[in-house]
Amino acid sequence: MAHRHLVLAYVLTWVLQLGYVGFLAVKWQREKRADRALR
Amino acid sequence: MKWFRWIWLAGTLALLGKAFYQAMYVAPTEATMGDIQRIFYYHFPSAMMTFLFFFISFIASIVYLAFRHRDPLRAMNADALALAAAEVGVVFCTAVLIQGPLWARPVWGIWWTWDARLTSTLVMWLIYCSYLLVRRFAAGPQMQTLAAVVAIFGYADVPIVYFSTRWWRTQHPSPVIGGDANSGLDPSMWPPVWWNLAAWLAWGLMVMAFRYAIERRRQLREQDEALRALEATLEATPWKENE
Repeated sequence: MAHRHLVLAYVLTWVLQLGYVGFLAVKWQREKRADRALR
Repeated sequence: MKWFRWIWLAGTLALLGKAFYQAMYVAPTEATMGDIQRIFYYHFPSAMMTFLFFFISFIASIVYLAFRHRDPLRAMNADALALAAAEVGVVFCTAVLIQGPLWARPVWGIWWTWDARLTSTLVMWLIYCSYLLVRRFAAGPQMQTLAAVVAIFGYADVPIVYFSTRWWRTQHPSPVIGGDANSGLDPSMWPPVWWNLAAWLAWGLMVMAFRYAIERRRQLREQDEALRALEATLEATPWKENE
């Protein structure tokens, strides 16, 4: 169980961090599109 | 400045790789807990980054409140920084709340206990989630002021979380830094800790800068839209001279 939990802790940390960066990338694209629409 | 971003990204990824290697292969296996203790090399830096980013949000919120009338441009920058830091802090705090129970289950035999450290950390997470919800759903010109006040008062929980293991008897392990004679780390465990702290700091700053850039862009677009709406209203108004 210990090894499974260790792997899960590291994997979930990365899923969370990369998931957040992915969310920011989508947000960035949306802002860029809105900017272009305004000009 | 684009080259600087790529160098930062490359450096951060290299640091994270090195830190992972240190945690998995260089750090010695802990005598009583075994390999599960290696969660600590992600857990401790995540907790430190949570404190750091909430502190940045706290300071930026004070700057926003201090300058919102005198220097609106500086205030808007501070507001964007406060949001970016709080959001990154919440992500790190979420990581802490995931890693903790995954470590606790094999070591304590339970996923969670309502001791002072765990409870105050959960309360801190809820406070900053409410800060993000205020920013997302509160409308009107007072939203930033309200959010800044939430961030400042919410920060009061951060020292409680940090000192909880010193002030009260907790199930959570004793402090790593500045604890009593029975606490602390074996000297051979410190290099992996420093590597992971440096790596997650570089990562956190990079993500915060990205979030800050998005928020500044949104603020500028909103200003632009307001200006255009004002101009359109003025053009549509039939002005009468000598009235």
